[in-house]
Amino acid sequence: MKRLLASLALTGILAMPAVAADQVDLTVLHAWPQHAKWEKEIAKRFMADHPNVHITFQAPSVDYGEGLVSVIRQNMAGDPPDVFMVGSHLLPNLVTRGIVQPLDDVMQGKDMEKLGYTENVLKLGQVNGKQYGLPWTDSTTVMFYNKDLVKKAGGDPDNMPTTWDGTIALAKKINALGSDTHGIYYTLGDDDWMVQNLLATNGIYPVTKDGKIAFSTDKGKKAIEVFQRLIQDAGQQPIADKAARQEMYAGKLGIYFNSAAVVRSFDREIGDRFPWGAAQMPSLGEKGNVASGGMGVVVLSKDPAKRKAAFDYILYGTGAKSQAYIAKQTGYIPINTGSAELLKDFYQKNPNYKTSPNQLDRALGWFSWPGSNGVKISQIIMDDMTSVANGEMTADEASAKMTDQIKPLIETK
Amino acid sequence: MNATERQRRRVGTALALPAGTLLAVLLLLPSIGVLSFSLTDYQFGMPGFDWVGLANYAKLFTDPDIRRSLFNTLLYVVMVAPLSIFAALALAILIEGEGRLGSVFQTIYFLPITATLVAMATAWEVALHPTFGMVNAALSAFGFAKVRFLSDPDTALATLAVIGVWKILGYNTLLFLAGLATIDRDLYEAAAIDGADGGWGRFTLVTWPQLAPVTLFVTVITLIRCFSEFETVAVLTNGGPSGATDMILFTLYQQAFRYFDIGVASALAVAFLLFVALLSIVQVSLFERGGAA
Repeated sequence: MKRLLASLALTGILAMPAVAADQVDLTVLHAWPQHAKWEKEIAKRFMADHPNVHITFQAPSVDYGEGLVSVIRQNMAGDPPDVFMVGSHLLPNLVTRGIVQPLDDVMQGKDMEKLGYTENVLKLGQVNGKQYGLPWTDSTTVMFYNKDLVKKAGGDPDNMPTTWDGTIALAKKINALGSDTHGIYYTLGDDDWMVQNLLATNGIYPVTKDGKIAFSTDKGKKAIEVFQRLIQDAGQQPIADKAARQEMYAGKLGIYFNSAAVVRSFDREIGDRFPWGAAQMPSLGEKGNVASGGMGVVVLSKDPAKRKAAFDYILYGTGAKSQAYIAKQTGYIPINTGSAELLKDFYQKNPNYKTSPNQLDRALGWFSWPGSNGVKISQIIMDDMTSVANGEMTADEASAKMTDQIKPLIETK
Repeated sequence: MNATERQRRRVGTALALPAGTLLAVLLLLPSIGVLSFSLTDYQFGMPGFDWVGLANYAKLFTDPDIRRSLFNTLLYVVMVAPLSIFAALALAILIEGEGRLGSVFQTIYFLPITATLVAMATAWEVALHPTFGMVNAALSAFGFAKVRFLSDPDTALATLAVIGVWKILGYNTLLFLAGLATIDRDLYEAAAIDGADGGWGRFTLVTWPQLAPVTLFVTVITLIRCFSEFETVAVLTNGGPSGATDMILFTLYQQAFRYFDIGVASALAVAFLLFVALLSIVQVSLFERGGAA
């Protein structure tokens, strides 16, 4: 009898997980530890809505590259995270390794347009015409500026220049204010996105429509020359981004370029020590473009139940409400059409957050290099551009060198 | 071979087995794996690969980025090793001569070893800031131009070398102090009787020869540590500006985990392993010869 009771109890314990069979556990990995706060908040809200889904975050990777390495490694061990926020330029790396499958199965029957995703937004998550993911965040580059310094130098902080010529002229004047004040800093960032953006201001992609490397074209060379002019004429110092940003926060730098994703950081770091603004990117041609980029969200799990839950989570995070929340937390552009209404008041009161969405009509779509050498190409571009900054190469020499080095890397697979 | 002898051998084998297995699993097998990978074009996480023979090793000599990285490593070693060995020796002798304050100085010089290097690297970053850094503030106070220590290609590697010396100096000093403590006092008296009672005479006649084994050990350890410099590069410069501070281990990491080129990274690892093994063998053989003499 005792034994019977014991075994009954045991079956009861064993049966317990079966009771909670509907429970789905999802592991999520995203890059950039500073994003953990809002990522967690979205997951928390989602779980409140979907009590049967439990989301656990892996420790965030320090940048997009590390995140990709971590996923590849975990995939080799047979247990990748179920959901991954991948740097927009790195998505093809997942596809060529067969780590990610298209979303066709879970997207079936959903009217994506009605849910607030435009054709262009959906395209950002496609590789070779297949929908592998959705954009989770989207950003463009903006011009941050110190209003006091601009005013002191004779500029109009409410009407910043819209051309590179005008911007350089203004920066020159700011630089001449003296007492450790510097005119301008255009960051090269962590990959080649900021250089893509320089090219975009002259209206071209890193690989032109007829398959040429931008640095080999006249338009591309002109764009790279802008960077040299920033150094030689406008007072950009060849120092690390972190050091320049500290100068900006200290009120010693006039104009600074970076992703609009850091608008919130500017808010926090500068507070009301001095007035600052975020203006649209200047153009080189009559009407230049801006580069866009961000992170895509993909489902790595192959389990149907998990894929379904993961897609619900993705729809929640890319939905109107969550995207509006992310926009307030960072400065990212909401990718959902429904967010605009929700952000109306906020944008009215905080115009610096609206600069990036405002220039969306001239943004080029996400770009990644053909083949699997994108990261290496990024490094080459950053190294050669740094050489221009340090005066080791002229802009034209760098353009020629980058073309030579990149060519074999995009031709061989 | 009698029964007890066989028994002893069996027990011996059994006792050596756990350590032997661990050694094989954790060290030998991975090394063989790396050696095999170095002969392939394997891309991290890809399903297949091809054998490419010695092509990856050829790249160590032909690829301009890797060559620069190897050259930077050599330059770094040449800057850091001699300075950190001889300065440590001098410090050790000074500290030993300094009676009461000796242990205070000893602690001060040893502090960098106890601190987490990544945290200390961040402190260095603040101190070396191109505009607000303390070092530059001091430079301009004395009328010198400011230096972009970590972002100027002409100064970046040398700056890392200074940090390298700072990092390793205390450790070497401690080793020399231990060596000094073992020198027999009688030798100094004997040397004094022979007329060597000045500082320099005592040093060349007694101290330096007596410290030979310690010096050998310190030299080998320092060389290996310099060759495997990684943290300061990863935290402070990322190999930049434009590769000016790329060094062998950082390049290895980049090739493997950023460019996913496991083949080249493995070839670098093998080259590095060979070098360290060579240094260790030289040390052991010199040591044994010294012991026999």
